[in-house]
Amino acid sequence: MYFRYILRRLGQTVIVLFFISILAFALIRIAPGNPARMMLPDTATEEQVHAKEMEMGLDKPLYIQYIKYIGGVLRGDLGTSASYQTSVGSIIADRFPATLLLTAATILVSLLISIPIGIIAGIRQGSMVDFLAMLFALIGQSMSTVWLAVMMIYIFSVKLNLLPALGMGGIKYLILPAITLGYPLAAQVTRMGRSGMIDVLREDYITATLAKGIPESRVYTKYAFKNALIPIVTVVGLQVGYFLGGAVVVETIFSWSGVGQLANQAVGNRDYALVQSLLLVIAAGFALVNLIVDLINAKIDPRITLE
Amino acid sequence: MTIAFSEGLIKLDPHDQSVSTGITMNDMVFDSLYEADHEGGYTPRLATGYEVSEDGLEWTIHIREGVTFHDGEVLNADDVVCTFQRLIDTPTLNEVISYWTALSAVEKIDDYTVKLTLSEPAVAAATMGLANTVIIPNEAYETQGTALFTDQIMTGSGPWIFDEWVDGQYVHFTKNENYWNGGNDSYFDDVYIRFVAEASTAISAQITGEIDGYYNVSGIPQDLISLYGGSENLCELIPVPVSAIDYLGFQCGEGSAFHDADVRRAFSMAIDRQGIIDGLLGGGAICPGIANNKTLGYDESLNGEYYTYDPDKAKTLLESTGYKGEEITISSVSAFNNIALAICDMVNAIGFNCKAEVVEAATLADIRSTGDYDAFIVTAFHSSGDLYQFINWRVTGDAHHSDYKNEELNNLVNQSNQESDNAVRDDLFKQANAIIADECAPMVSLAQLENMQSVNYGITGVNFLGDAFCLLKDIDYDPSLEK
Amino acid sequence: MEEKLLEIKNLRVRFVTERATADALNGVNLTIRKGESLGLVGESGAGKTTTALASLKLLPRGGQMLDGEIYFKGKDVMRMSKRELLDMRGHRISMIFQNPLTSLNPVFTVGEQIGMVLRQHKGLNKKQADEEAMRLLETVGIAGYRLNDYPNQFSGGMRQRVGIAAGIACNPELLIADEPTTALDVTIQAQILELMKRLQKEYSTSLLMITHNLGIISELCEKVAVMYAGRIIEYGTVREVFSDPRHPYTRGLLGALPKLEGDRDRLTAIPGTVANAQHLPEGCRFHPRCEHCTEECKKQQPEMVQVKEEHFVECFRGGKFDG
Repeated sequence: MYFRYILRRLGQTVIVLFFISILAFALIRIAPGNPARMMLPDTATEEQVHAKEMEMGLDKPLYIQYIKYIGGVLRGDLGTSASYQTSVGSIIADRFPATLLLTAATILVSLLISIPIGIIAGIRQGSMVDFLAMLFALIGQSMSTVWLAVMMIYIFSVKLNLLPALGMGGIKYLILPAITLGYPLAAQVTRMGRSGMIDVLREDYITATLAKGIPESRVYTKYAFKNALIPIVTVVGLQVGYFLGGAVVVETIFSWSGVGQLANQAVGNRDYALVQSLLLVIAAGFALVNLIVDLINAKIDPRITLE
Repeated sequence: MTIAFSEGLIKLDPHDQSVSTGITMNDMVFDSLYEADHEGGYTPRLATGYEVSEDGLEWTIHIREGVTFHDGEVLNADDVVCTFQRLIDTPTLNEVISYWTALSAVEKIDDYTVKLTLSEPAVAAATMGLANTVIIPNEAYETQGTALFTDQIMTGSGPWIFDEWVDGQYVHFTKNENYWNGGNDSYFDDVYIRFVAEASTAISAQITGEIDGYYNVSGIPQDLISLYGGSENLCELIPVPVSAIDYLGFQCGEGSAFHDADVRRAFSMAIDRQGIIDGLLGGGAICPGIANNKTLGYDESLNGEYYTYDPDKAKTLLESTGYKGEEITISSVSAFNNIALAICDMVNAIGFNCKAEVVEAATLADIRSTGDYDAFIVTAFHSSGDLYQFINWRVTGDAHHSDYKNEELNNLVNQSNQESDNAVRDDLFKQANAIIADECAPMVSLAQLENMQSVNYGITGVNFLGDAFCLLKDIDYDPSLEK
Repeated sequence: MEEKLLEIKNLRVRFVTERATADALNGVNLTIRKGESLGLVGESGAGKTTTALASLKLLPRGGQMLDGEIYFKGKDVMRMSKRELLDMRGHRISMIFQNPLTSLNPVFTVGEQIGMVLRQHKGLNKKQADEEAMRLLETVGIAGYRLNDYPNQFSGGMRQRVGIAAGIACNPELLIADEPTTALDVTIQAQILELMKRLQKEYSTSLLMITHNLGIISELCEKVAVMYAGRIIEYGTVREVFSDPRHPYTRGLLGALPKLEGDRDRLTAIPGTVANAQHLPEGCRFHPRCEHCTEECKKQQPEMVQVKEEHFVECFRGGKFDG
């Protein structure tokens, strides 16, 4: 049952990716701007631009360009970047791990903090812990990422000289970007954990479990927790997908060479091949994460596979 | 030592660089035949001298002996030929488009003599090209081709050796102690150029000691200078007047509001340039026309009648034209939006109907290529203190389709292209500039820029150029200069 | 007389929410002895479930115990230590809940939900608990191999059986069944009833059967207590109370039963609506609906009076209306 569910979801994913490739192809071409012109200095003549266009294969009809592109993708060739002049595959392969690392660190940090806080706030509804947790969540949801990033640098880098402001390398370079990116997520998860927990604790089956003489601590950490987790997993999954797309702002401010910064640059340069393949790869990443989330959810809540 | 640059490298190919970091890299890792002082003068570097034929088409270059590349290979005519042949074979390279569109052939005369043949007497272009084009090793290039650049194994003959480039992060050079021109005895063994897009991050990093200097292509943003407060003994703030101008280009074709010269003049007179310089740019100078005090063609005595802020006069002039309040749009990228908005306010006060529009760089490139605009604002640099590129491409060549035509102007420029004597060219440029200033076409300059950069006290040899590049070739350290 | 298992004295419970205050229990007195089976009957909202939850100290949020005492085997439940409380719940007193669709945790197997009681109170390890759970499932009529199925794979009736299995797992001294068949259809009701009768015989557990179905009470219980507006208004053996109901409310309830055989009279409907716990009437809570209401009834709360050896009623007239 579970296995069939997985297969079904995989099939859906492939179809979605196919449509995304068409969408990416079309969208970047709708935007005004000529990639050939972008590659040349702004005083290039029309002949020079045209020569560049031919070199880049942009003079061919659209459907041929698409077929060439998708044919390459199916063979594993993601195209050649006009701005970098190297294979898109290698550029993405260079940058993706950085984004993955940042995403992983962000998820880890924010969940480790927010799930316990949210759950406890739900259990101790109305208490001081609850109040502080909600304050924590409110601030996180109201703050602008840019402001938080710059404040983090100002406090921890400039004033306290504890952490580096930029660059990549070891763990200490990861901390500030992960916190900046992770705080809004932590805020969301805290709220969901809290409201999820409150809802679950109201359910008859929790009263029934308590009536069986199971100690409260075990009811909260085992029997109510699993139920409260379901909406959290879904939310986290969506956010991970978003992070995989590369959090452009954070990556730019902290000089974290990930996929987000790359995508931003690529669109600005109208680097068609890079943009298309980036979108496809990011979409694939997002779809994969969604798939994993669905599988986790199906494991937690067996009602799903039986539908 | 580590210095932050605001622009990152996109590729290593020394002949296809479009970002200033690339120029810095070329200057460190390679040598060109001549060396420019970026204000109009040239000294021999790999070449010892050259002769140009009467018709300006044949250039015979003499190459220095005793130069070796980082891998030990000896530099001679073969390398020069290889370099220029590459340019001929690949006309889409940036290097070619900037300087060598007229290059048609290169020939080895003997081991230390090379002849270049041009298809037309593009003297000024070739002169600048000799100072910009770097020489690559032919043995390496013939066996590896462009893999030299894509696989990060390139070697040059310069005072620094290329070590590593991590895209989006940094590029790393090591000292070449065997540099042919007296070795390299810099205090620093390693130089890292870090790419930091976000100015506040770069400044924070400099204050905390993570980096030793910060070079921002557009100058350190005015409103962030205060971040250096408290670190005045560590970081030196260096104002660099550059031969770059912010300018506003007009669409001068028929049917456009700016077709009438008086409309343009009125527009120009309504702009309070000093106000923009003081309030938005944080420094700079007014320069009528397109020449400025760091380029040829600058005439201090030029009467910039239409560059003097006089809203009453502007209003009267505008009323005398046929302008009936048609809507005008100034297009620019977001960085210039505040200038555009300020200008709108100023001109609208005397009767124009003007609004500002923010566009993406790619879109701006598009509309300028078709002429589909009313006005736009950009920055332009005058390389090497010469007006050659600006005036040929943006003015007479009308790269941005402003449809402005002026026979007299074109003649002056063509003459200057064929002159090799810079004194004569200077005079020709002065005349051309006077026309541009008087006609207010195809553009009016807004200000000559003054960029702010920063390097820690004690570090020497960081050369901020008048054309806004930053050279690190001679970087060194003098502890006595620390505060 | 047999030992008193559960003794509730003058229990008053109030529910406070932002919107309203409801006096759910207004002086409940109830005693269940060892081996007894007591039916607690009344309409929805009378306070039956609240009484049961209060005995286990499981009042939901917003519920306050204003007054009264609850003793289990002589011990004051409200003063019990945590350990004593946990030992009581699920072990000495078990509760079967009303809605089988919501009283089982959907993300745990039925085996887990039965096993948890065994592991908690009998110290069994997982394997032992699973074996015992399987046996219990068989006892309530469910195939043992379904141990690792999830609640949503069972029908309502079967889920209730699972609830019952968990309830008897530790052989409790008192089983509280809160409307165990209300959510099920009639044929399934009969099956569950059969099951409970059988278990009653096998396990000799005391039973507190909460229901509004008088038929079930007559099948399963010896004693019956009738609840109205948070008070017990009539109490006695089933035989007594059903053959000779004294309180006008009880009369109304019994009169409202459709007869399958014999003369079919008009069904008696009790006039008026159930007392609103948020706005309880003064005096006897039932007085607005009582055709025998007097001035005294409107002002004074009647006390429980004994009318026969095993028959008590809360009414000034003692239930004597027709001479």
